[in-house]
Amino acid sequence: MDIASEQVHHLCRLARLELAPEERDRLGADLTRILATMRALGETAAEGIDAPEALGLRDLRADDPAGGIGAERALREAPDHDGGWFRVPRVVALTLRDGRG
Amino acid sequence: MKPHLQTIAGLAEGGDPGALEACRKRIRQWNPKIGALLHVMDEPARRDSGPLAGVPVAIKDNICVADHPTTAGSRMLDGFRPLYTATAVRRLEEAGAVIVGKASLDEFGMGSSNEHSAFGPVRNPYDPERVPGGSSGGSAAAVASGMALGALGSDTGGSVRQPAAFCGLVGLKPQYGAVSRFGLIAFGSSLDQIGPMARTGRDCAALFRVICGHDRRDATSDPRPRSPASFAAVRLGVPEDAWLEGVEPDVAAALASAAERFRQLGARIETIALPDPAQALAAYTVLANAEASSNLARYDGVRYGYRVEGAGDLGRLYRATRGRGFGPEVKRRILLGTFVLSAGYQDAYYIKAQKVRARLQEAYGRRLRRLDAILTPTTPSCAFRLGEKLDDPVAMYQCDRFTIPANLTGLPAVSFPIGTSRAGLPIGGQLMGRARSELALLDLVDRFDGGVPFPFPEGVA
Amino acid sequence: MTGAAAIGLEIHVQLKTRSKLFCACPTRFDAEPNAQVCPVCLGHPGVLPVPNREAVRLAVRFALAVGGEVQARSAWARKNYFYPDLPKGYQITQYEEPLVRGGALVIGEQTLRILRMHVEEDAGRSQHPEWVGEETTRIDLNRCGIPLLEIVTAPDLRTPAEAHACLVALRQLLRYCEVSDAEMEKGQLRCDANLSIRAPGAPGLGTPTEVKNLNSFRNVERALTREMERQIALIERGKPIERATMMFDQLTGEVRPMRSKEEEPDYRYFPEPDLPALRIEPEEIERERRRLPELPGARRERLVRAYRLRPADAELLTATRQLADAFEAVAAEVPHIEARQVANLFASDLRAVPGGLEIGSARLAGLLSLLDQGTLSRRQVKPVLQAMAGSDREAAQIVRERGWVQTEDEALLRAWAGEVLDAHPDHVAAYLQGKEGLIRFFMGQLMKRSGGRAHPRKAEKALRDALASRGGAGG
Repeated sequence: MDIASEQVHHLCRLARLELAPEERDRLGADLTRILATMRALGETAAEGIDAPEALGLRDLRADDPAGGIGAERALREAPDHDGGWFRVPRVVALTLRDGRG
Repeated sequence: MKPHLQTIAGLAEGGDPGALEACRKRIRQWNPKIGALLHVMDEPARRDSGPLAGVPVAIKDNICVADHPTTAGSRMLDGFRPLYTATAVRRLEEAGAVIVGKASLDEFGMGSSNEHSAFGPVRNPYDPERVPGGSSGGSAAAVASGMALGALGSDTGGSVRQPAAFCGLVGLKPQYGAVSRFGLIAFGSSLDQIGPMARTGRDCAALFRVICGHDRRDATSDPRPRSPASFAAVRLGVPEDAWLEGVEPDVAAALASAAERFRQLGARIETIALPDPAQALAAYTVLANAEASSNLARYDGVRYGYRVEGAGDLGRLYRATRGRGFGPEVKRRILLGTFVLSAGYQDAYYIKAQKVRARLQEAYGRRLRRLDAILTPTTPSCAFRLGEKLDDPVAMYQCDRFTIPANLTGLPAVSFPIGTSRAGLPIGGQLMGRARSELALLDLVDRFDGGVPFPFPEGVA
Repeated sequence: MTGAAAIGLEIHVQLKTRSKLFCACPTRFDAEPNAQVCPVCLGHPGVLPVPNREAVRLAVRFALAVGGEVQARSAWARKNYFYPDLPKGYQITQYEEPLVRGGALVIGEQTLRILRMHVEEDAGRSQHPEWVGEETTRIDLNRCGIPLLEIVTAPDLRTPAEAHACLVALRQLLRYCEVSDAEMEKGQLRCDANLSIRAPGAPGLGTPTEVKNLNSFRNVERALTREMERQIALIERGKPIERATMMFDQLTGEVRPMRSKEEEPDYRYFPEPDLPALRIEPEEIERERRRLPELPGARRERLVRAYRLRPADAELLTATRQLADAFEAVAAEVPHIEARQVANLFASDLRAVPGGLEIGSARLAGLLSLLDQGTLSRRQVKPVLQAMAGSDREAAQIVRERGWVQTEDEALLRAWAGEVLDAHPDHVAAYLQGKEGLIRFFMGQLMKRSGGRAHPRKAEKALRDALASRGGAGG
């Protein structure tokens, strides 16, 4: 399957990756070659996948709160913060993610 | 060098405090040449008693150690210090081990040569013009050059076993769920396992016993006990010749003589048909990279790690940070993973790969009811030259075709030295066993190697 | 044109657990920013999720309350997208295998079908710049990881008002079951809606649009009303309705498109590899069934039957479980008093007095007894309640202290009655000629004379006796 340049562009958008034009071309070629090996997946019968083991309620965690690490520690590795909040450059215009504001 | 400083078992018997200093000396001597450790740690042991008291170990740099650099071999985490320590490392520390450093790796565990680290390649101690394997190349090189007596690596498609093979070590990929993944920077979540690397089967087992076991911080961690060590009368399967197509002659010859050695030790050897490695590789490529594309979405410059300067808005921040923070191999895999999950392609790739995986699990499971283990080469070749496969990702991925089935099926597999090539390079063989049989497999390796490690490279001992 | 609307809701409620869904961080509202976080909910490298048992139990409980089918096996999935308050770059949710299928919400005469419900984690909070020139968005991750129950209804609602009523009923049920406090102002209940218009004569439902950013019940109704108008206007002009995601602007009341079709996200859902599937045993479902309280509808009916209440009163009294419990506690203390009297007290006075509902049932019973005996008049109930609310004194104490005891002194009452009748001879004459309604006038006069403290029944008796003796009949 041939990965065209617009497809690479679309994938970069989905993955939030900025590539230089030569990078984009080379990666497109790489992806095309890698996907060619997918022929080996073959045609599979439409059987279901065996349900892997499940966890019962008893195996889950009890609802006992255990503090938090606190803002100072939480922000220790942050590239930008104001002592309480993480900070990022402004989100452009009305791009609410999917409505959950 | 004193023999009992060469292995963990020897150290346990001899109890020599000089072991740590000897390792530190070799770090100073060798690290500038081969670049195995990204970060050298000088701290004393947390505890001075325990099954691993005084044992110097290296930890792959995608495993978190609190307040110490953990880079995952990436610019994305250059300068990052985790807020917590991985469970497997905590268990080593509680057993008395001393961490001598964080080992280099292919960025985010993605690679088979340790040439994809943002901080420079690692060189094979047996031949510095060659790769040590990857992605746990630094861990392997560290142990092979005596900087540590053991190491933790991680294995998603062979990343513990293949470098172990290239560096003359014993490297175990445990059953999926045997060792907690809490604190392992995720690559392919349903495939990843932390695995011990050491110079003998016995040493590897000593490390494994300490790190394995249920962890309530990892919901995929397996609470069931491991099968007891030692098989009664071992039944081994070896692949048909056709399956070994493309394997270097030295490697094929070493496999044959390993089979013969096992026969002498009392094993029954049977030639069997094995599933097509190309199909397994294709399924692995889809699944590992799909999961990786999601696991690496958190690296966005917001809460930790690298952030590009001067981005005017959030969108720009994301794209530029990730565009520059990740190396080319990582970006390749993220794009591939994104593609196989994307609308319109998920059925043809991701869903299909899941089905292939299920069939493989069934195929190997069937064989391992009759047989105790399957013996194959770990890799088709010995350590290749630096730069040899860098321009050909497909060729690079082929390195993993014998190791991948163990990750796809979740079954335990161990690589161990089975010979030396004519050029003097280590050759690794792989034993893949049934569920929870790690200790039995390591016991087999122990019987094979008699507790004697592969010789150090020249200049180490 | 009168097209029928088909409205469905997608509601997210915060489950009332003490810790988050996948880590042990506390879930208290209003903590300092980023005080309730840990490496897991911060999405640090190497962390893993571990599900909270209580979150699943609450979801199961609510499933039973709406008659939904709890799935013995359900599975977690990743929903992948980038947003600064979504630390991992994906949300752990349930996609193809939700915890609950089916169910229904009964709202008055109407039944609203529930299609599915599942558990997922909440995201954090982004505070966008408010001023032009302010350059940064700030992120607080306290909310990130709090367990949510997502409820998806069928498009069975026909008007914006019905949508409003649905949310009211849902909130009531959630609170009854102690599954969620469901306060929209605290972000514990959020609602998106979808709306389509079925044009008259057209087969099937029209193309739906989604409406988001609805942060109050009233705004849900306003937004849907506006969107209905917009779609109807388009249909009348012969224009097609395009699938779109609309955002409600509460300042202008307008609904406008949020993103173009090209910008629709591709979430690339796939099974969560860090979490095995979830298995629910039948005993665990039964355990939650036993924890269910008497649900609002059933309680309403029982109150009507057992206490002979009017349906409207029963409805009021069952608005919350606490209120219904308080009513029944008081009614139990005064079995000799007609339950309607108790209901009246709750329905009118108690709600009007701040702190009235916190007055214990024993004390309220005391008040009702005084009322019943006639020691207290209806007019005096509210002031007495106000005094009770601020203290822990009994009604009788307060009445005594304030000198509010009703005058039952018969001699005094007879004297007042006499004075009233002497003051209004014409009214007396009219009464004796048949205008019996004037008794109320005389009562009013007597009450005035007594400063409002005359015991009503005894006062009336005194008046009638006095009138009878003036009538000369029987004397």
